[in-house]
Amino acid sequence: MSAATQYYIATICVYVGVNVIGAWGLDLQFGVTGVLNFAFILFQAVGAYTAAMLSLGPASASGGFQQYLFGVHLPFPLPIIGAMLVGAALSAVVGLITLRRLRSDYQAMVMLVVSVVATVVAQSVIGLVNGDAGLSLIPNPVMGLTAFTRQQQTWLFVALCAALMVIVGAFMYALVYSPYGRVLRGTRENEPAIEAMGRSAARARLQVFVIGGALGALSGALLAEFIGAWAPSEWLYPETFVFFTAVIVGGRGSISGVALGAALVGVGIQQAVQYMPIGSNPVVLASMEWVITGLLTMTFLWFRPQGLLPEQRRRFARRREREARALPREQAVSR
Amino acid sequence: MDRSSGRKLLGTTGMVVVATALAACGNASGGAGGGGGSGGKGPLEIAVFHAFSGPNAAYGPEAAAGCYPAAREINAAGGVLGHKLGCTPVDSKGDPADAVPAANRMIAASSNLAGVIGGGSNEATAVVPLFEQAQIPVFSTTGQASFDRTNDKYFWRILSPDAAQGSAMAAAAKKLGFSRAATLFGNDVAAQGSAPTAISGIKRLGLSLLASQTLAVGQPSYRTEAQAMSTAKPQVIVTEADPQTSATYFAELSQLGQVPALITDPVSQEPNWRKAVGGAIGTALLNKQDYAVVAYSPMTTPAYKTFIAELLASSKQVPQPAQWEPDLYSVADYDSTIIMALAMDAAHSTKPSVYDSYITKVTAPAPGATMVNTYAAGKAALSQGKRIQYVGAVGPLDFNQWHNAGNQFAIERYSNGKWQVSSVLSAAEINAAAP
Amino acid sequence: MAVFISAVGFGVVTAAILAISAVGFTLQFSVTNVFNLSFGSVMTICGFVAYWLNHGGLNIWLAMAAAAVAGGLISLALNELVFAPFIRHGLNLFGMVIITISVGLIADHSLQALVGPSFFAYTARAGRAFHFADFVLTRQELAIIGIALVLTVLVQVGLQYTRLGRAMRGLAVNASLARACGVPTRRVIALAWFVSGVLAGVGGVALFLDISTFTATTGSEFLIVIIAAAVLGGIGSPRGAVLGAVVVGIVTEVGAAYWNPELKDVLAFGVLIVVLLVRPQGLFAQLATERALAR
Repeated sequence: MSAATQYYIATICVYVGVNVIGAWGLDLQFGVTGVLNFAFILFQAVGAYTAAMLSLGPASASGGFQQYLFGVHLPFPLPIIGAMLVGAALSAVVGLITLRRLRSDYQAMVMLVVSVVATVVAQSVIGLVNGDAGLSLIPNPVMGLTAFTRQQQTWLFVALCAALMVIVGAFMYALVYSPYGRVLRGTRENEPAIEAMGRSAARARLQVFVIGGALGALSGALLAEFIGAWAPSEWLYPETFVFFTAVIVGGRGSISGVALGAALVGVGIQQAVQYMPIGSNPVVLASMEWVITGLLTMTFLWFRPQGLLPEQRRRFARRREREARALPREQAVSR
Repeated sequence: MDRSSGRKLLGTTGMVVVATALAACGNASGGAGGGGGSGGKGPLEIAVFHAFSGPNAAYGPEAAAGCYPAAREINAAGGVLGHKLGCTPVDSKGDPADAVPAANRMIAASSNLAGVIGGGSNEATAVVPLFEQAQIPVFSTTGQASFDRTNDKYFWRILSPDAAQGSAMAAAAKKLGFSRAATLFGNDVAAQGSAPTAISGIKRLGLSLLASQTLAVGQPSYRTEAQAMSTAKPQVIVTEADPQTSATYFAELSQLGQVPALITDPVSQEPNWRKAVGGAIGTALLNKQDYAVVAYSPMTTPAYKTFIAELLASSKQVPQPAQWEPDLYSVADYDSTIIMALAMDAAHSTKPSVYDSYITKVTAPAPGATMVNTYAAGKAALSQGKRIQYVGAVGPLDFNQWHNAGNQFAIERYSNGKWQVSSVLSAAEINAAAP
Repeated sequence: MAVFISAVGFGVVTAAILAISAVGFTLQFSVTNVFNLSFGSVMTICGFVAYWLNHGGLNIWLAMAAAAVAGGLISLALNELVFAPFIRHGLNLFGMVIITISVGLIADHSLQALVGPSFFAYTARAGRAFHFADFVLTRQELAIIGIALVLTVLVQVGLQYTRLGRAMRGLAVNASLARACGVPTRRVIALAWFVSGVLAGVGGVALFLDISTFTATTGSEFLIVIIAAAVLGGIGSPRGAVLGAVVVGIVTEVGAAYWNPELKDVLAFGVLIVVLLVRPQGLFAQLATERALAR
């Protein structure tokens, strides 16, 4: 296999890993707990920018052609850990502001606005993250391992992403199938019951907001370090919707489902569109990606809302579902 | 984690691997990839790697409008070492995250990739390292400062960086005799490159800077900013912003007051900009007020004439070709393609890693070198064993040690249906403005 | 002081365009209880309908009227063919918002594939400039303000005094009770969608006139501001939408005059967030409080 082909496959692998980790973060928030986080892409961006600033070093170094808030040159894995911490902290702040006792789609609107505000601020305040030009020359942690060839370094990074994916996956399983996971699903399904049992639904929502934000930041940090650059054009607010589609297509609340959805939707659509018989007009191809994403979501929400690999429900919940389906439609809508 | 969850995790991983394979399948079949095949007489590809979709979707067709005429000229003269040359557009989508896989796929899938025209400002820093690693020469029109002193061996830039452009615009304001100036830049990456040096240049040259505005791109209204500019009453506005922002702003400025003289950069010669702003304030007024400060390319050189002839004959691949005639970036990409072909001829090899070092050998001024302006002339001279200096439509190119070829700048005006050079800015005038 | 007055004047122009769209957006919410995030796409499509008519020779104001009708029909079709079926299918609120986003994305990008990434403009003259104290308004801008006033007053009067309007308000407050009282639900809902679609059409053309050069994504980019205005005023209340539009319009322009013009939208959104922290239902809580907006 030629070097170029290897790099291409490695790129795909990294993108899949990054998308899966990010989608799991959103799954925790939206799939399991029912928080409509329409600002999710912001946390991926925060992770990316933080990892960049923690590994680039001060702005004046290397020519001083980009400006940013602060810069230190930390060795691996500190930038990634730092990114997750900042992502978690920012999620806490945003969550405290927006997760008020508001209806969930109202919250979603507010988060959408927050996402747009963040983009405008990033583009306008040049000293923050270098405006629209973004940060570049972000060092890749494996590049410092001079004992390996360039190809081997790339596969090392792939291995890193894969390892992190497995760790996060295990963490997700542990979390979601624990008693705490039941509280989360309860918050999504039947909040009064949770409150009646003495657990705070609002606190649970804030907690998953923070954890999901940290996971989003992790995915951003990995992506930024791999690409070496990060700019506002990569985290415009519609990008959040790609993650939502991944979660819906894969299966809300289902860990393996969401992973599959992230691989198919995040990466698969983009690659698949190249092979469709719609000519090679790039504008049409790029538009088709979004059209397909939208159609996928609508199709799945109609025919198979539980996704490709549905969440495993406990027997009691399955019985309840069957009973609920037997009720007249109207009562189901006015929930 | 219980056993069923463990199995599920394994299943997940397996499924993700399968999905990955599915996503990557079909592309891995690229054969040699990364290095242009020198065996066989198959066509060579020059990839036009730019944004063809997204907010900067105009960059792609603009670059293609330079590559296709060059390819036509090259093929008419017999191709490169017996191979025909073709241009392949590749969409970078204008952001680094999409550009990287697109570049990787392109490198992997093309067995005859000989060179790249591309890497716009949005994605250059992310993709140029990929081409460097794949040892493929890339001619980029990005103006970013990070490439001013690059150590990349395969990166070539034939237009001045944005910083120099900004200084030139300031120098032009002084040369034209203005004393009260204002600056107006969009906050996107393309405009932000020249803003700092334009602003500092104006101050350095002693003009009074009455207003310095930055516009958030794509807003529905800039009335307050336009009002502030109108109140300040500058004699000239030094500006770069995308077509939509510029059109909205100047429409409102013309309603609130008057549009003063404008000093613009190559962006204002792009057809979209011209149409949008001309529609907003009237084409006659625009042409009267606009002084475009661009790389000096004497419009009368044979190479430029050849470019126009080939461009107009390429209407099959380039829709409405005449609109790209004054577009400096198209012209630069035309020259870049010719240079790559001549370098391959000089190196007697189509392998990118080999001919890269011949690029300077066909462009640098040297005693006894034969000056040529077309591919055919260059190829003929090379076949006679002579050393050549290709002077293209952009002008003579002397690449420095960082693979940057600076240009002279000129002030151009649009009159009688075309752009004409009105005066040339000397290096001294520009240096007086530069930091 | 002059700066302030002209900023307010400009704010009124922005508010006028916002008001038309925000009222349409909020009307859709009031009858369906769903945030329709494809509203911006409908605005864009109507803007382009007007563009094709305008470039075919029609006067821009007539084209606007035609676009308004088109908007009404498109919105009606969207509801009948997409939104209502999904609601009947049992989709909950989260799902419906996501459906509207999907529809918006599909519409936007299909349009972009059709018209390409270029920039477009109407052939419409701005008209004479009128000088008011410290600011200047062109005839076109005055016309837009006039249209906005007329439309918002019509909507308010319609809701308050006509039978259909009262039926709409009743439906908005309590759907089952309204049905029990004999309100012809489907017809009223259809009318609500049509009216809001008309507003989307007028709003879209007005926006494109204001911005003078537009693309296939201009409407959706503006949607966030529309949402901000509608939510600020109290979602579901047309009066609130107008108030929200005025607040957002004036805050934006005054902010641009005295602070950093690049961040003028941020200022408006900041106001929105502060208001929501203090009063989650928005400023005009009339219809809004009767909805279960707070948990």
